[in-house]
Amino acid sequence: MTRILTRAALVLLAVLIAAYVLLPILVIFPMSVSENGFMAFPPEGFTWDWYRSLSTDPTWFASAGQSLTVALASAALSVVLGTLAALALVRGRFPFRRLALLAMLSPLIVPYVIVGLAVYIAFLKVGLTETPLGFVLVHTCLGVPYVMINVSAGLVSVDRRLEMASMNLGAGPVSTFMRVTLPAILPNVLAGALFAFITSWDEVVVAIFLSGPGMTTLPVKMWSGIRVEIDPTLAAVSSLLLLVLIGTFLLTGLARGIQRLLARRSSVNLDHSGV
Amino acid sequence: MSQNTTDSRPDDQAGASINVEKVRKQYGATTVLDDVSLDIRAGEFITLLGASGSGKSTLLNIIAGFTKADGGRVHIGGRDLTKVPAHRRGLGMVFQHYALFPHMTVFDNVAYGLRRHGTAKSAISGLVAEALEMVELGHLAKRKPSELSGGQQQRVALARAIVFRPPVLLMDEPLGALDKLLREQLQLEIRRLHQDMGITFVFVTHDQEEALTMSDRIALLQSGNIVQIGSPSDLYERPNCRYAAEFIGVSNIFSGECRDGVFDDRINGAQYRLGSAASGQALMVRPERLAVRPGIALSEPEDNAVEAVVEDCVYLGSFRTVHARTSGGDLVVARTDVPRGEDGVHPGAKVTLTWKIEDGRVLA
Ligand SMILES: Nc1ncnc2c1ncn2[C@@H]1O[C@H](COP(=O)(O)OP(=O)(O)OP(=O)(O)O)[C@@H](O)[C@H]1O
Ligand SMILES: [Mg+2]
Repeated sequence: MTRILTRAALVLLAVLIAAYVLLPILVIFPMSVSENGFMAFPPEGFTWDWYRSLSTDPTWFASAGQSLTVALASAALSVVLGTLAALALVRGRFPFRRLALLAMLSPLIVPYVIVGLAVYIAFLKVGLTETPLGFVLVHTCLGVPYVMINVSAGLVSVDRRLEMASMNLGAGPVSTFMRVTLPAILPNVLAGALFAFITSWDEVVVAIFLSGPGMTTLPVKMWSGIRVEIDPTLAAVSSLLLLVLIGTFLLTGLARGIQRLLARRSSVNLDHSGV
Repeated sequence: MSQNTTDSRPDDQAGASINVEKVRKQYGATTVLDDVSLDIRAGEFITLLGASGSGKSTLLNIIAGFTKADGGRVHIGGRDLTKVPAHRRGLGMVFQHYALFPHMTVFDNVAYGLRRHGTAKSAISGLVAEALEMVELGHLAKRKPSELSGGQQQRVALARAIVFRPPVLLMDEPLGALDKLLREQLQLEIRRLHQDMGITFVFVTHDQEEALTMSDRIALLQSGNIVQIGSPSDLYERPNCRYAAEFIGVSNIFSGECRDGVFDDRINGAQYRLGSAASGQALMVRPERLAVRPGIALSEPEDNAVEAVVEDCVYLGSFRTVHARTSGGDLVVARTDVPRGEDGVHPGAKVTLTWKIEDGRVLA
């Protein structure tokens, strides 16, 4: 009896925490379909107007496109650099290893405002502000630590004997990495990529410094938008953003689920064949 | 990615000789291999035997090319491979915990080496099937390693290591993770493989019984040195030091001194005659060379004898062991036939342990 009670209490607690975390986000959607011309809660009536006005304003799409490009490019670059860095730090034996680790983790520790200011001053000199390249360079810096942490965790648990076996069978170091090590750490690489993508996709602070008429990422456009116009178009944009994120997570979850299902299916088949 | 196979094979005959010359390895201040030299003949089955930490794996890994020696050279098939990386040495290797690639099927695991060595696509499936047949696993080619038992996984690892016909097969405690019955079965299979293939096998184990059953020769390692190398009967019958005698099989060792062809065992107040002139502080007799006589029996002129009190008799079916304590406190184990009836050897009984003069061996 007490066990059922504790259970119920735990479930209730979980639901409450989930609600606490999710509600402020979910409030956005009702506001985006409200007939009230100012963003206000509770919403009144129902209309798709704000989505319609969004679809007629090309600047939103330009920003979204630029954000997506930057996020994809910096995630890809972060994966390559972060994985290489993890390899060096986990496998390498060289002086100042801890220092190198600290240096690569610094983007997680240094306040984004400081990063933004420093980068702004530096990039202004070489003309990289308001350019996709500038954004990609900075966001890659911010994404690398996530990939590195994830991949390092995967690497330390890789069985070195698998790599030795591969070399013994005639595969060189690169071939061994691609065929044996990478498949083993793939989940970690993908998790790192996801983190790096999201970090870039919703990064505002550094982006504000680098944005301007020449280039504005979506989060920055939203931020400046709410200061000049507060109609529910912003709520509509936010809802769409959420949809993209939920979609990304669902896709990764689905991929895992399918993988697990296939694995189970094959072992079930074996049981039936009875060998 | 493929290497030139002919180029990486040390020579054309089935097995290759291995010459380890003054190989030295240090980790920090500890010397793991202390100028080890070892000549392995082409086609022989040699076992590196030693206690945990004696340097067996380190020596094997230096031969395989995974570990860099601090000094010395390694020749395989007459070629100096000291500086050649592992993936260009073309040797087969089996690891203790199988080290099968978990994301590949059994077939792909076995085909891995062939593909890396640039074997023609059309030839691969035939060679893989043949190798799997050799270890009797032909029907499991489509499974993943996780769907196999430990014994089956180790067989796949064997097939993977021999499929490209390496001149040398290195094995690091390949049976360590298996239970006794399976281990004995695989010991036989590995010996059969060795006879069929005629290539050089270098086998690492810390199990002296396994070493005795499987090897043509055994190299006994003790903290980075090879203390004795020879056939199983050499090591068992003629150990050259106290360590070898104690490591291999059960041994009874009396301490004392050699003087004028006599071994003076002062602890037990006895003197034993020696077959030949020798010097050393220990005399060893194997349990099966000891005879147990009840009471204080006069030994025959060609025998040595020591008196003892039986502490325990263990019946083991085809034989029995008698544990007896001498007056000096040495515990002596004798292995005897099982008597038909009561023979006066039972716990508490006074007995005389005797052995032929030539069965005692003086050790340094
Ligand atoms: N990478 C390393 N760094 C430091 N010391 C090492 C390293 N590898 C091995 N050693 C040391 O070298 C010694 C020999 O190790 P090795 O693995 O060769 O022993 P082994 O005979 O194979 O033992 P086991 O039967 O336990 O496998 C040990 O004392 C070990 O602690
Ligand atoms: Mg070892």
